[in-house]
Amino acid sequence: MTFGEKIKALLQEAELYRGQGLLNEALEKFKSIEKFIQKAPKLKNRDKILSKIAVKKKAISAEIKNFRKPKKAPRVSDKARELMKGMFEAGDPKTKGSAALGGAISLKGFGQYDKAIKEFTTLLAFDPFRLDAAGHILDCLMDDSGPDAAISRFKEWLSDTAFTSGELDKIRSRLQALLDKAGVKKDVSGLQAGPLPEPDSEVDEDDILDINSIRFKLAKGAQKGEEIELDVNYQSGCVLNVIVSKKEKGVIEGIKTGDMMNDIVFYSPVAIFSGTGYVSDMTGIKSGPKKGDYSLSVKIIRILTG
Amino acid sequence: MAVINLKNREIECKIVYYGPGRCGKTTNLEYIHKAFKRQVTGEMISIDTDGDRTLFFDFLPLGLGKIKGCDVKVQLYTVPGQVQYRSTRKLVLKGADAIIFVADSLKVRREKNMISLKDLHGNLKETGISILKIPLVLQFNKRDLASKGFPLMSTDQMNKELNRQLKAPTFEASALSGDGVGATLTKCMKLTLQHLQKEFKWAQ
Repeated sequence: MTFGEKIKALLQEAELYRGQGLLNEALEKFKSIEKFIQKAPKLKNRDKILSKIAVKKKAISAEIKNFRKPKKAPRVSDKARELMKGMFEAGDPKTKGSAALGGAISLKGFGQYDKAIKEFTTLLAFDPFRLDAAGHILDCLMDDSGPDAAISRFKEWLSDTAFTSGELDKIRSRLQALLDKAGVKKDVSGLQAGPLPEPDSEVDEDDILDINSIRFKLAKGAQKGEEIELDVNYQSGCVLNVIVSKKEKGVIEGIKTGDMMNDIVFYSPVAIFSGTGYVSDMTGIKSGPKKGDYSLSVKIIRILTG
Repeated sequence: MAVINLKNREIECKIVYYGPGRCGKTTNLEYIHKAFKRQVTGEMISIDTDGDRTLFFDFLPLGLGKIKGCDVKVQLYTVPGQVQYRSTRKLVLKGADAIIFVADSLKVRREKNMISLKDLHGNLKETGISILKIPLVLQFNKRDLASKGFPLMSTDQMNKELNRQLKAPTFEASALSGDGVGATLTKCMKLTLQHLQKEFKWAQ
């Protein structure tokens, strides 16, 4: 085999590796050919071949770099999600014997964070799983949206009555461990319940229909869990104002400025839709005919589409 | 772990295709999907990312019909081969009844085969399963590439390096053309059913 034939064969081999998707092997092969040619100054078309190899090396390196870039897990079909849920056996110690917890852990493992959080949230209502589920929710939020989202969720729980103080201490430790593991320098030991920072609305104001009334479940207070329906007083873009009568004591004590209202239903003359709202204001009316009543402002943050 | 319902005489077992990235695991399933249409009982699910690399797994359900009075169903899965997806591989491996290890015959992939086999060994060990006890078949894939000028390892060398201790049945294959794909799967299913018979005496 002549020197030229040898180079041709090696170039062919490198291209074959590339065609097989073996990028590192192709790159290594091109590098070795380059070295080989550099030792042969009298080779015909030497510079042309070397410049072609340089172009190929650059392209392959870019492909490798792109491939190594961390990517978010794609959202998958319902069928694939069901298969994923079955992959964590109920017998695994981490699942505490619950197929539902196992399924949610599995979804988390596959990066299906939205669905996993939804399933963990359902499990918060079941005593044997609530602490684990809360920990997994924080874990999902850390991975998917970052530490601020996890801290913000913990703050929501602090201002909620869903967890006892003992449980909150355990969840706080779990959050601290997650932050430490992620290298986030933030001490959550002194974190107190407080209003959440007002989130931006994800809804285009022009797309919002006129809303007549809203329905939601009270998350705390004496009437916790009760569904409340209130008429809209006026609407400004994605902010709705509602008057809460002074007689509705359970509603007044169950809503505070800074609360997130999940699963809120909006009634418009032409459609009913659900979404998430944020209580941007809840203050007592101090004068006028509505004196003693409360003015509640709800900012529509998100509309659920399916 | 296989689901065995003796009352309804049903067996459902899980076979996992394992091996390094780009070795041809998905290609095996694609060929089975195409060539064993009568046995395929549902759609093939594939979740791949850029560059045709499997990100999570592929899934293909098969129905083998009645064997010794039992309705036998098999679920075939592949794992993502790239090194960084270890935790996903562990998830997919959970409850596996048998493994088909697809080794890449290309000389340049020698080390990757060994790393992947070691990874399989470690992942099985973590779930309390010995690689020597689970039904296992080795497939030496891409044998056809010799004719295209790729330097391949000899099957002797591959046997010596990957199978000296395992002593698992081996098959030469070319998943792209389908050569050896059916033989590998048939042998693995045979071993799986024999293993389950030993454990659960389902054929009595």
